[in-house]
Amino acid sequence: MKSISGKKELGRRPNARATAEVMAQVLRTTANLAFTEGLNPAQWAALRYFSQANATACSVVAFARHHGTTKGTASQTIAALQKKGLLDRQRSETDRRSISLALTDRGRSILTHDPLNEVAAAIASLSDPEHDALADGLDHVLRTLMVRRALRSDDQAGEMGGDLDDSEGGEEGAAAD
Amino acid sequence: MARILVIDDVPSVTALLRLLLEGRGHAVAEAHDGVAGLEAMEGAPFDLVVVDMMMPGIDGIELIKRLRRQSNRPAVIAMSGGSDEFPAAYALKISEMHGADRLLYKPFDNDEFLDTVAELLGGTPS
Repeated sequence: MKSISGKKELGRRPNARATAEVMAQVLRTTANLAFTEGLNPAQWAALRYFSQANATACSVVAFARHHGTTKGTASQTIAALQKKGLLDRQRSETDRRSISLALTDRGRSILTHDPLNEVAAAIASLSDPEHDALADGLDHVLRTLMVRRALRSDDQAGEMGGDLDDSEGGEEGAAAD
Repeated sequence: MARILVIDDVPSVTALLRLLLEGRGHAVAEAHDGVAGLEAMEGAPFDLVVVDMMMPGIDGIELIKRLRRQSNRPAVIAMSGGSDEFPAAYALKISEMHGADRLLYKPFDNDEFLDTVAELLGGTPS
């Protein structure tokens, strides 16, 4: 687009705050879609994970670690899926001591109705450049958020360490800095 | 036989994977960071790249992203054990979004790895 002066206008960047709110609306819509087939969003996420993970990673501990959640939360989600007959414990053929979790036939069948399919269809309707930009943008935003979260928890750990140092004289804390 | 590039910043990992792959008759090259991996790919074509997600400098995600823009890119296996700051499920899903063909959560056992390679290479004997 050209201005009256004939120079090419750069146009306005989308509003970052409003973009974040739209992203929140997309997430809310996606989460709402995921309350279907008697499952909740966390249970759908677990079904997706166990349908794709290699056998060694098909345990409660691995699921919790790889998703950055607690073992307690992961156990609850997995227990619910087992109760619904969607996940099953299987003994390894090579190591009889090892037990891994696998989708049952019903679990695989229900995953064909994954509510995320609807979101994937909306994304697939984007043009190639739009899809490229979305993928790059989501990658950047997620990675930035993870870095900031890590920095925040480092700061909090530092503050707690500082508090302890204060109460205990602080010499070791100074050396640690 | 396939030409395979293994990229991981932990040399013991690349050495083990090389051993496994050479045992199946593949020609294997190693790189220990993303820059060296990209340089290796400029020098010779590969059928398959096995790459770790968490590396200093150009990490696995960035490398896969760059490969996505190439017309004749090799097949890619992304692997990750994640970290406290960046869970593996996040890293691997981003890598899949950018075009990774298969995902492996670390640790994995030898058979899982070799089965994944064989599945991906299809007709190539492994």
